[in-house]
Amino acid sequence: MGHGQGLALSRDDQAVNHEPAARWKRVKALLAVALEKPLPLRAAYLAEACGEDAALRSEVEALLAAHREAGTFLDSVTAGDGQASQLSSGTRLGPYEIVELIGAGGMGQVYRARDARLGREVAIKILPSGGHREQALERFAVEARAVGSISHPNILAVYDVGTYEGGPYLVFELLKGQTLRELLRPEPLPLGKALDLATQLAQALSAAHDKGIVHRDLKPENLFVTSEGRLKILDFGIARLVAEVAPAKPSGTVTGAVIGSVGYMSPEQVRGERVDHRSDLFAFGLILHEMLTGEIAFKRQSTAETGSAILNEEPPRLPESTPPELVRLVRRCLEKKPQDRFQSAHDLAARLATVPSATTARMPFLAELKRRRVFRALVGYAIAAFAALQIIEPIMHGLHWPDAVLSYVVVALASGFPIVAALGWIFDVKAGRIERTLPAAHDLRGLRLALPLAGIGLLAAAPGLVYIFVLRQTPVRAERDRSVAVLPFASLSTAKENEFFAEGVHSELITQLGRMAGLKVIARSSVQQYREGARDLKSIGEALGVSTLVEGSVQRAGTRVRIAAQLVDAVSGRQLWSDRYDRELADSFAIQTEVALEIARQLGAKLTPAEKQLIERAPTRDPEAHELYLRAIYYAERSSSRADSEKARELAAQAIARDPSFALAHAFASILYSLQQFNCASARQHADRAMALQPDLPEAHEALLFIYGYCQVDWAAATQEGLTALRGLPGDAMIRSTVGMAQMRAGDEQAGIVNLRHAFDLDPNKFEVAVRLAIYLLSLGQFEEAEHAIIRLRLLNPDDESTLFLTAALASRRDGDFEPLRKVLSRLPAEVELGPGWWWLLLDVPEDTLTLVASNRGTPLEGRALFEAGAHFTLGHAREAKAAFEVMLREVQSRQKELLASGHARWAHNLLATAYSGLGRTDEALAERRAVDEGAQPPLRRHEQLIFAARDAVFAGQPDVAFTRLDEALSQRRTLTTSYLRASRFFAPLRADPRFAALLAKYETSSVH
Amino acid sequence: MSPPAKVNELLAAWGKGDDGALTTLLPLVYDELRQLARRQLRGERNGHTLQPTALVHEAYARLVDQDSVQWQGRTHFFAVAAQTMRRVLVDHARKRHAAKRGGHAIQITLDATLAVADRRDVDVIALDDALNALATLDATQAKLVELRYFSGLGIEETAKVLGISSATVRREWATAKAWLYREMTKL
Repeated sequence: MGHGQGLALSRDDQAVNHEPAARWKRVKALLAVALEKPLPLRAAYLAEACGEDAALRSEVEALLAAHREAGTFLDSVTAGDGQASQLSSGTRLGPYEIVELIGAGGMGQVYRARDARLGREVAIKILPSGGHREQALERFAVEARAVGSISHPNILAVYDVGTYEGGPYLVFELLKGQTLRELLRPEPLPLGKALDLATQLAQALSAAHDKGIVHRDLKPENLFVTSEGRLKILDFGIARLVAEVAPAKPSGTVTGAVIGSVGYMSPEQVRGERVDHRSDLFAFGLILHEMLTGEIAFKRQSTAETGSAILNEEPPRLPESTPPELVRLVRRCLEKKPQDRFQSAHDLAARLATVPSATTARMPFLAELKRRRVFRALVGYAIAAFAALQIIEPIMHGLHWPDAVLSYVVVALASGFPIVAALGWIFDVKAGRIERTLPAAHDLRGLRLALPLAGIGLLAAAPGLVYIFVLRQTPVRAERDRSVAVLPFASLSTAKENEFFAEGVHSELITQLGRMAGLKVIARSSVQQYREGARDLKSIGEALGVSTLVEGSVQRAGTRVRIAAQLVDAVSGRQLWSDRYDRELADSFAIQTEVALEIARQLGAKLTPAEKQLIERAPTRDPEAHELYLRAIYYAERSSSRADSEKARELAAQAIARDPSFALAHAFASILYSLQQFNCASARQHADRAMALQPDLPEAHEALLFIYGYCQVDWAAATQEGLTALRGLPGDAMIRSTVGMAQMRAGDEQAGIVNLRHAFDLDPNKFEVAVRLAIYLLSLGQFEEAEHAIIRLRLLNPDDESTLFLTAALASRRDGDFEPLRKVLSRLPAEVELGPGWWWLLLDVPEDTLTLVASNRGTPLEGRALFEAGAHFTLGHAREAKAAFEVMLREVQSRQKELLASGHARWAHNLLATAYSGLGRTDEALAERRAVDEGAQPPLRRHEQLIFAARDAVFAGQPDVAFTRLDEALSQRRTLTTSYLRASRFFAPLRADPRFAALLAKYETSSVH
Repeated sequence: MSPPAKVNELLAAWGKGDDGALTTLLPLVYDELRQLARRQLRGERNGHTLQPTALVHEAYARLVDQDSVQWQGRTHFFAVAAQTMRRVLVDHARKRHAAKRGGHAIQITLDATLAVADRRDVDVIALDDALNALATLDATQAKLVELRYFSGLGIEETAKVLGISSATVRREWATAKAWLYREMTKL
C-alpha cells in the first residue's frame, strides 16, 4: 500500500513555478503556430513574431528542431482509435465479401474473402484504422499500387487496395501453406530444400530490385512457402508503408515486432543510414544462415546487443557439412559494408546457381573441376591478362592508337579463357600422376605451363572481358540526375481566390519546367496527391523516382503576392536552394519564370535559346486575364463534373475577352472545346487564332493535334502537329500519348509504341495514358506487357469501361478464356454505348450478349441489331439472325449519309458488308468490303479488317475465304491467336474442316511460345 | 465484494467528486498493473518492452465490470491507470537500473535510430523526471502526456477527460512532445 499513498496525486497539486510558466506559455503559443506553417515560412514567421527577442526566437527554433527530430517519439500507442474489431463473415468491403479471419498480427488482421466480380478467393489484410492522416492514406494507396505492379511468381501479388472505415486494406492472392518461420520452427532445413528456397528468393529479389523496389524487412515471417513448395515474399515494400501509415499498434497483439525485425537488419539499417537493395541481400544472408542452422545469426538478449552484434561481430560458423561455396556465399552476403557484398540480386542468384546441392548432378563435375585445379589455372590467367592490359593501355594511349586496337586485345585475352580451361583440365591429370611420384615438381610445372598459356591467350579472341572492360569504362552515375517533382504549393490564406492562384502557380511552374528538354519533370496528376502538410520528402522522392523536389507556398493580399519556393534533395533532405519573392500580382508570371530558370540552373540543365525564349515570354500583359486563365486551368484539371468544365470554358472566354491577343488562352479554349465538347468548329476557331497570334506556341500545336485527331481523323496531320508541340513541351504525357496513338493509327507503329510507353513512364497515374498503351500493346499482340498496363488500369480505375473491356479482351484473345468477358458483360451499365470495339469480342459469348443487348440503352439500333444477329448466328438460330441482319441493314442504309459524314465511314462500310454477308448477298458484301480495304493500310487496321472479313465469310458460308483471311491474320502475329481460335464458339463450324487443324498446326509449331 | 463491483463503485464515487474513493482505488489498480507487468516481463526475454497501453487495457478488462460501468467510469479508470502505470514502469525501471547506473544516463536507446517501425524505446525514468519538470510549467500539459502515453487515451478521450477541445489536445501534445524531447536529449 506504500505505493498507493505515494501516487495519490490529485489533478494539479504540483507547485507551479510562475515566471518560467508564463514564459513557456508564450513559447508554446509561438511553437504551435509555427508548427502549423509550412517549413519554408517558419523562419519568417518567427522573425516577425519574436521581434527583438532573440532568446525567445532561438528557444522556439530549438523546439522546432526537437519536434522534427522527435518524429514518433512517445506516439507509441493510442488505444481506442487503434483497435480493429473482428469483421464477421459476410461483411462487404467494396466488391469483397469476408469469409473468415485467418490471421492477426502487429500489422493488422488477415481475412479470407471472395471477390464477387471474378468469383475467386482472395486474402485481405486490414490495417488498424484511425489516426491516419488523409494524405498518408492516399500515399499508401499510390505506393501500394506501385508495389502491386511487380509481377513475379515469387512475390505475393497485390490485387487491389481500398479503405474500410477509414483504414486502408490490401487485397492479395490467397495462399495455402506456411511461413518460413513456421517451417523452420522444428528444425533447420535440409541443404537441397534450403538452396531451392534461397534460389527462389534471390530471383524474386532480382525482379523487384530491377524495378527499384527494396523490401527492407525480409525475415522468415515475411516469407511464405506454399504447399507446392513455391516461395512467396509477402509485404513487399508494404512493411515500410504500414509503419508510416499506422501510428499505432493495436493493443493486445504480439509485442516485439520491432525486436523481431532487429535480428534481420543490415548494419546500415541499424545505424539509420541510407538503405538500398544491398540491405535486402544482407537479410538474404541471414535468412539462408537460419535455414541452414536454425539459428538467427546475430540474435542477442536485447535490441541494443543485437544491434551491436550486427555492427561489430562476425557471423557464427555454418555446419561442417555445408558446401564451401555456400559458406563463402553466405559470408559475402553478411559483409558489414554494402560494397563488399554482392552488388545485385542477379549476381547473387547466378552464384547461388553454382552451389552444388546434394540433389544436383553438378556436384561431381564441379568437384572434378576443383580437383583438377582448373579454377586455379583460370585465376592465374585472369591475373596475367589483367596485368597485361594495365601495361598495354597507357602505352596505347601514349602512342595514340585507335581504341579499336585495345578492343581487339581485350577480345583476344578473353578468348584465352576457354583454352586455359581446357588445358587446365588436361594438364592436371598429368600433374596428379606426377604429384604422386614427384610432389615437389608440381608448382614448377604449374608455373611453366601458365606462361605459354598466357601467351596463347594473348593471341586469341572472346567476349567475356570486353564486357568487363566496357563496364569498367562506364562512368559512375551521377548522384543526382536531372529529375524533379513540384509538389503542390501551400495556399497561405484561406480565401478561395488564393487557392486558385496557388494551384495556378503550381501548374504553370510544372509547364515551364516541362518546356526544358534536359529535365525530367513529373506530371501534375502524379504529384497532386502530395498535398501540403507533413510530407516525407524522401519517400515521395522514391515513389516518384526523382532526386529533387520543389515545395513552396503562395500568399496573396490585394494586389501583392508573396511566393516562396525551395528546391530540396530528395535523398538527403538537404535544401539546395530557396527564395522568397514579394511582388505585385502583375509580376506573378515573372516570378514563376525566375523560379523555373533557377531550378534549371541548380540542376545543371542547359537550355536552348528557343526554350529560354518560350519560357521567358509572358503569355499576356494583363494580370487579370492571366489570373482568369489560371482559374480556368484549376477547373479544367479538377474537371470532376460537367459544371466544372463549363466553368473552365467560361473563365477561358473571360480571359480572352480581357486580352484578345492571349494566344495561350485561345489554345487552351480550343483544347477544352475539342476534348470535352467535341465542338470542332469552336475548337478550330480558337486554335487558328492562337496560331495566328503566336505560331511557335507549343500549346497551339497541341490544340491542332486534337483537332486533326478527333475532329478530322487525320492521323498523319495530327502526328505532325503533335511532334511540333512536343518540341516545346517534351515532358507532357498527354501530348506524347496522343502523338503515340496518332502514329499507331497512321501506320508508324515503331515510333508510336515508343511514345506511348514514354508517356506512361512520364505519368503512370494518368488513366487515359495507360489505357492507350494497353490498347496498342494488345493490338500488337504484346500480351505480357499489355497485361502489365491493364493491371495498372485495374488499380487506377477498376470499374471504368475501358478497364473492363481490356481485361476481357486480353483473356479472350490471348488465352481463349471467355470467363472474364462474361463477368465484365454482367457488370456493364445499361447506358454504355457498345462501340465497334465490342464487336471485336462479343461473338463468342452469345447468351450473355443477348442478355446485354436486351437491357442496353446506350447503343444505337444498328449496333444492337449487329450484336443480336451475331449472337443468334453463333447459337445456330438462322431465322432470328437473318431478321436482325435485315433490321441492321435498313437502319444503316437510312442513316448512311449521317454515318459517312461523321467520320465513321469505315465502320459504316463494315456494317454493310457484314449485313450483306449475313443475308447471303455476297456480291454487295464484297463491294462494301472493297470500299474499306482499298489502298495501303496500316498493319494495325489490316489485322482488324482481316478478322472482320473472316467473320463475314463465316456468316456467308464461305469457308475458303475464311481460311485465307485467318491465315493472313495469324501470320501477322498480332491479337488473333491459335488459343483463341481453338476456344471460339463462333468459329466452331470451321473446326470439322481438316484445314482448321492444319492452320493451327502451322502457327503453333512455328510459334515461339 | 468482488473486485469488479468494488472498482465500479469506487469509480462512480470518484466521478461524483469523492476524492477519498481514489485513495482506495489506486492501490487496487496499482497491484493489478504490477502483477500484469511482472508476468509480461517474465515472458519477454528480449529486454524491456512493456506495452503500457496493452497493460492498462488488460487491467481494465480484469478490474472493471464493463457492462455496468458508464462511459464516465471508463475515462476515469484510464485517468487513474495512467498515473498508476507511470509509477509501475518507473519503479520497475529504477530497480533494473539501480545496479547499473544512476538513472539518467541513457535517455533514448539505440532503437531511436532503428528505422523499421520508427518506434523508440523511451527511458521511463528520464520521461518521469521530464514530466515532473513539465508539470511545474504546465500541469495540464503534463497530465495530457500522462494520459496519452501511459494510458493510451486517444485524442478525443483525452479531450473529454481534460475538458478541452480535440484541437487543443493536438496542439498541446505536439508542443509538449517537442519540449520533452529536448529536455530528455539535453546533455
